[in-house]
Formats: sequence, C-alpha cells, structure tokens
Amino acid sequence: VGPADEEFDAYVRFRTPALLRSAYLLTGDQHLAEDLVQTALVRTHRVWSRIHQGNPDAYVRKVMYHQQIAWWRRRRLTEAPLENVPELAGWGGPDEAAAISIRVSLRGALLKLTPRQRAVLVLRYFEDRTEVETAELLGVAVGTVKSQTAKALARMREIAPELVELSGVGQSPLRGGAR
Amino acid sequence: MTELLRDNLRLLSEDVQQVDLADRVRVGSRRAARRRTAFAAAAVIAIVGMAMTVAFALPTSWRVPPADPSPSLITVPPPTPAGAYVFATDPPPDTSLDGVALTVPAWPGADADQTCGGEIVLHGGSYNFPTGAYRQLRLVKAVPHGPRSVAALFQCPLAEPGRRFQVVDYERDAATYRVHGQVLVSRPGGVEAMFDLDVAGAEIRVEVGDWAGSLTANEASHFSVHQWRAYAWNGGAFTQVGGPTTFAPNPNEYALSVAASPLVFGPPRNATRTGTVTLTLRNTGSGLAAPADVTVSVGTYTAFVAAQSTACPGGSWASPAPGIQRCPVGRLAAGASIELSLVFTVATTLSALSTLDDEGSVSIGEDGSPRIGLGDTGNANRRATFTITLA
Repeated sequence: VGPADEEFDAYVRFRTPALLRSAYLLTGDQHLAEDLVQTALVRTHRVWSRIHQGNPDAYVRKVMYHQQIAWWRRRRLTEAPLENVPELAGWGGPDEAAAISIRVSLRGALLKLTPRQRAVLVLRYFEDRTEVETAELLGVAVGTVKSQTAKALARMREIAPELVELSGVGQSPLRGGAR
Repeated sequence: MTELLRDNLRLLSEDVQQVDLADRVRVGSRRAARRRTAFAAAAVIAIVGMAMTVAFALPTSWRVPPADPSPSLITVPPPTPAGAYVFATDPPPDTSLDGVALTVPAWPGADADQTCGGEIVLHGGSYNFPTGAYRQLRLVKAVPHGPRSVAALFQCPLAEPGRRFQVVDYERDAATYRVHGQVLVSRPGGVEAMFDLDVAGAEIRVEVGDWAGSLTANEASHFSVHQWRAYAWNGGAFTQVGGPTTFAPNPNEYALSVAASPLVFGPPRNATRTGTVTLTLRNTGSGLAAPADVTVSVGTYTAFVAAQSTACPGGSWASPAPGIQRCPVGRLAAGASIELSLVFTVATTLSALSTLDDEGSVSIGEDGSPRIGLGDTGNANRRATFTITLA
C-alpha cells in the first residue's frame, strides 16, 4: 500500500459520512445509498493520482449524481419504482408522529421526483451549491438547473402540500422540537 | 418553503446509518482492476467461443426446475409497534473557553487521523484541525471550580465511536491554562459517551453513557444507559470515588447478523443453470431489532425467480437496482433467526458466463424507518459474502 492509497483510504473514511447523507437523499434507501457511494469511490480510486491535488469531492459527487441517474434509467425499463414508506401507526406521541410524518412525506416526495430534479434539490438546498456549481456538477446548463428546480419545488408542493402549509406557519415539527 | 426544505433535508439525511465503506471500496477497486485486465483476454476468447455458443443459445427456456415446496422459514417474529426516536442535532458548544490556548490530551488507542488531541484554541466553542479537514473538537461544557481550576468536557464527533469524549481538568496561571489531569477518557466497550459535567466540593461528576455509535451526542444520550460517576484527585491522578462502575445491560441493543451459503449453479438445462443461496439472519442481541431489510447482490447476469424462493416475511422480494434483490424481514426478536432461500438462473451463453463474478454479497440493515433502537455497536456481522461457482 503506497502513500497514494493511504491518502485515498483516509479520504474515504472521512468523506463517507457526508457522501452517505447526500446519497440517502438521492436514493431514499440505506443500501442503495451505500452502493452508490461505494461505486462512486471505486471509480474515484481509478483516477485518484490525477485528481487528489485538485477537487476530489467534486469528482466523486459528479460520479455519484450521474450514477444515480444511470441506475434509475436502467431500473425504469424493467421494474416498478420502489415504494418503501414506513407505517406510522403506533409511533411516539403527537409531536414525534408529526415530525415523522413530515419526514416520511419528504422522503416519499423526493422519491417521486425524477432523479435529476432530486439531484438539483439536494445540491441546491442540502449541499448549498450555487446554480452555477450545480450546473457544473450535473453537466447541464444553468437555465436547466433553474427550470428543474422550479419544477421540482412545484411537484413537491403537489405531492406533499403539508410542507407548503408548514412553511406558512413558519414552524416545522422537525425544527421545532419533538425531542 | 426553501428554508423549511433545507432544514428538513438536513434532518432527513441524518436517518442514514453511517457505515465504514473503506474495506468495500478497497475490495471493489481491486476487483475492478482485475476485471479491466481480464476484459482484453475475455474479448479474444469470446470471438473463438461465439461459434460454439450458437448451438446452446437456441431455443431458450427461462423456466426453473420446481423448488422444494417445504418452507425454510424458521421463525418470523410479528412486527411490534415501538416508540421512534427523532434525531436531534446537538446544542451549540460552550464558548466560555474561547480564545484560550489549551492542550487536549490524546485519547489512548485512538486513530491518529481522526482523534482531536493536541494544542488548540477554541473559537465559537469548537476547533477545526487544519491538517485534517474532517477533525473537529467541541467543548460541550466547562465548569470552573476553586479559584484557578476549570473542568472541561470535550467531544470529538467524527472520531471512532468510543473515543469521542473526555473530561480534562485545567489549572489557570495568569492567562495560561495547563492540564491538571485527565478526569475521564471514553473508550470502546466502557464509558463510550459523556453528556454532562458538574463539580461538588473536591469531586468532579460526569454523566456517562455506554453507547456512542452515532454522530450526535443527543442520539447517544437517547440510546445509552445513563449514570453519574464521581472522580477526585488522589495526588497523582484522577480516580473514581463514587457512582457505579459498570453498566446494566442496554435494553435498546440488538445485534443483527447474516450468513450465506455458497451459490452453486447446477448443470445446464434448457440453456440455463440454476443455483440456490441460503441466507441465515439472526438477532443475537438482547433487544427487539428495528425493522430490517436483507439485500442480496449477485451481479446483473442473473435472473431472479421470486416464485421459487422462500416467502419474504415482511412483504415481497423486490429489485431496487440491477443485480440486487431486497426483502423486508420485519423486526427480529432477541435470539430469533430466519432462513431464506433464493433461486437464481443464469444463461449458459458465453456472454453471460464471461461476466460471472466469483463472489456475491448479502447485508442486513435497518429499512430506513425512523430509528427505534441503538442497534449494533459494531456492524461487522451485518454483511457477508458468498462464493459463486458453476457445478
């Protein structure tokens, strides 16, 4: 194991938590998130010597977002979309149930977006990327990012209106406590 | 809506269970390199073999021989409702020691790349190490005692579980602080977490917990067995002078594991081969497990025949991605085990066999529902590999 491999190992160890969070939002699934991050990191390893002094994060995320879209395309041809929304009955008190309900709604809504819309939302509102950075990572025009963002938000309002209602109140059960 | 979306995306993202992918990435990289090397050779063989393959490729039947009708399910614990834990981020760090040069002693046995010991100056109650962008130290609480002393509880959130907390006692001399002694240092399998700190007379009291497997202290607090323990200076070091010295069994703990038989594809029949892999899922812990999924990955060359496999105890088999089969197994009671069998088919054409991998994998994990228990303190047994061979 050479210094480059050791450096890559350290990179994997330290970046995996953050990458898994993004991957979970993209896939809505623990195992797929793990597979997505693993696939992206394996591909990154192939070019590590070329990119490690630049911006490896940008590379691995680019692979991850493109891989997710590629998986979705392949899956769409042969299989029904995965619906895996957990039951809520019997969990916790009212605050907790409301918080879980929002999370389930959000997760369900994300899964109903196209992969590109989901990627745009995750990049813009989870990773706080600018429109230009988002366009760069996804390999699309800035105008596409703007239109996809608008469509994604509109679709989410349609799928999960409670998210819109809560924004009017200005208080989310997730943000507001339910501890 | 976007601020709400931003907050909720962040909180939803914390539902993901953190796992160490380093080994899997290492193995995957080696395998990918082997495949690239083998690809050129395989291309040459494929051209020679193509003529021989034509005879086997026509006509093709994808039916699988009848499987053993007797169910191999051993036990299926019924789903039980339970309280869910909603992840909470930790409160802001204590800023009372901001701007002060401090020495934080090393955590014994900690990974040097992740640990937070060293010379630091806190800003906003935390310190980001310049040589490792992924290392951060937080001051959870500082309690002054006596005219010149302060006890400080630190958290190193991204270090290994069990090596994230310590309480250090400092003595102030003019504007400098020097380490008087390490009061308590977390260690895997012992005191893994520390949540609060107090001083009473000569005693420094620490609220401790037995579990720190999450990234936030709040979650560790939720799932830990809590105790207050007291420590005092004996002239040479801090030693425990009060409170319990061991933890009671943690009622939140469960331990999921999975094992798999080899997958052996039998002789060709109607241009296909079939093979069965048997999975054994267990909860060897003392508590009821969270709802779990089992996921089998065999490669994209196989065709999965759900009708020939053991019924999925928590629903039905599904394929969320090419080459991956998934079954929800519900919640395994303490000591429960489940045995599942899956039948796969593979074409006998050269193009199919040339992509045959020599190894598959299976994993069991929470199904993504909100967390209801602390789960495994180590998840080494949650994943297993099995060989794939042709008879």
